[in-house]
Amino acid sequence: MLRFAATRLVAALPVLLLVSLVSFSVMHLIPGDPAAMIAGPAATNQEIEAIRHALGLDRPFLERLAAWYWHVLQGDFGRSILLNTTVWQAIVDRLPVTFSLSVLALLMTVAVGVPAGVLAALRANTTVDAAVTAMALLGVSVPSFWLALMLIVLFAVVLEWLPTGGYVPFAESPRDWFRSLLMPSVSLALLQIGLLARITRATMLEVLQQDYVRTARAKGLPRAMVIGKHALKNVMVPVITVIGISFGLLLSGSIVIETVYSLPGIGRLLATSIFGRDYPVIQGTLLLTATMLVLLNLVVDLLYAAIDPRVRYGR
Amino acid sequence: MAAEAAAAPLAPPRRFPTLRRLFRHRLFLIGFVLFGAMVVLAVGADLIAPHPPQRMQFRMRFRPPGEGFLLGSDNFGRDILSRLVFGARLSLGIGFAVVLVTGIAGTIIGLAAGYFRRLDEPLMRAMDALMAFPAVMLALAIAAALGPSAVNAVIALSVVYIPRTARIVRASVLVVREMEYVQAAFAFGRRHLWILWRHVLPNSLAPLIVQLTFIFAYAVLAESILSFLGVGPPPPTPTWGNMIAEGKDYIREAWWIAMWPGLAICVTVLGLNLLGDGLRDVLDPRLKVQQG
Repeated sequence: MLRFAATRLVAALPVLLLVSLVSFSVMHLIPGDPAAMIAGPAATNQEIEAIRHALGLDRPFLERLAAWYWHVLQGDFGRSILLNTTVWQAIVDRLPVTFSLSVLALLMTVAVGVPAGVLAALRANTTVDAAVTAMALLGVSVPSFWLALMLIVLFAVVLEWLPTGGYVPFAESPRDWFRSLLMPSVSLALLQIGLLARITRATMLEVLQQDYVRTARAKGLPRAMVIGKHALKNVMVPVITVIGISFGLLLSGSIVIETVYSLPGIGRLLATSIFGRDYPVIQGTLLLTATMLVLLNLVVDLLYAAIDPRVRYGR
Repeated sequence: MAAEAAAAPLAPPRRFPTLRRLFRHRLFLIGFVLFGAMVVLAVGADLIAPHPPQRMQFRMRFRPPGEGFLLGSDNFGRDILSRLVFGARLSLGIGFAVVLVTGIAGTIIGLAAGYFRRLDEPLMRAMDALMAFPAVMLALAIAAALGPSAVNAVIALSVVYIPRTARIVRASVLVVREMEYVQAAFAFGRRHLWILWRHVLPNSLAPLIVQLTFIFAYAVLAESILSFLGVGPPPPTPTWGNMIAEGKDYIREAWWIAMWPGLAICVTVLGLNLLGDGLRDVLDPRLKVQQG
């Protein structure tokens, strides 16, 4: 197991290197003079020059890249151009919001998606199955930001049950915290629920046809035991993979959802810094989220191997 | 159905058996109708639109759906139906362009990585790195850096979806490569490119087509997000995403501005998902679990 973990970690290193390279380079795709773009049309030459120097754009690309790596390896992601703070601080400040949102959405996803998928598989080709499948398909087809707007119309404008936006920290009032995150996390979760229900259903159907399930049934184990112990355990492997993928989707989704609901999280930070061309923040956010996802995938792989010994020896 | 099945052994072989099976797949058929309807709207936009999509009538602002404007009018007094069908043209056009670019580039990279062992590691690690970023996040950063336009949206989305396509192609190439007919062709002295074109590519096609259908769906969704956030084709040119963005500010008084384009996205993406499911069931029954 340790050996497996080590190989995986080594394999992730070149990916991390490339990830950092992409994070740094994306912002240099800007055609023309980025300093002039940041400064805006009204800026004087002197101001543009100052920005260029502050960003180090007056130095060659490779030199900037090397300097960036040197700082990043020391945990220094630079200073934001727009916000009067370091990139690291800006991200850390907003982390609790995105974290709350993602965890809540993920909880909803697992709580609804897995049972729905299992139910559909156990009642395959019935009305229940058709209903779950239809809901799941709808879930993966609805744009989350649009759903978010429609929820606002219904629950905040017409019914006035929930706030239209804004964030209340958990420490301030757990109840308002939950109320402020309810609609955003539902908007985010719907897609994931659809994905998870579909995959759970497909895997469950496959597992139910396996010999060991037939054997368990043949030896007279109660149905609940067969499904709960023999089938469900094998369904968990793809389910964990999907949850691992989900984090990427949740972070992607948080950009629009946090914008629609005015939640001060990582997604909104990225959206605003993209419009403000706040390079250091964009680079830092991209690098940190991608690194987090690579490490998360690593954890998923290890979990995978821990649950299913076949994975360890398969390759 | 029953009579047809009974008579099958006697009947002469039918032409286009795959196509027949597809159109007997009920969900595929629904998807075909939904997506087909949107394509008809996009292609026939000039004929269908009752008003020019950009014409502003300031005395006709915020008209609810009904008289004069079938789907209502927006904050500039423009006809939403007309903007919707012209938006379909752009949104579907971008999605289709992404499918084309992704299909070609993803196939080339996937074939190269799967067939030539030396290229496998570097190519796939690069693809892994691109896939490490949350899809929309990377597309957003690229599109924002390049500047808001339809072409740049296509570039940004293609960068995001090429790795996901290359991976699928590579996986099927790895299987096909070991087949005896490939080895036989090699023993015959066929050149690599010939083998790739004649044997490997056709046998990798089924999962590729299925994947591209899903990518079409993702691309339409992702494009709407880019446009919604203002890095897609800029207004006043209508796309579904920027129509929703404009409607967002008037959501309290005039919910219909944002509602219709969202429904159009739902119908399109649902149609494509159903098409993809049907294609997978018929072309490639082994692939049961959908990849994200």
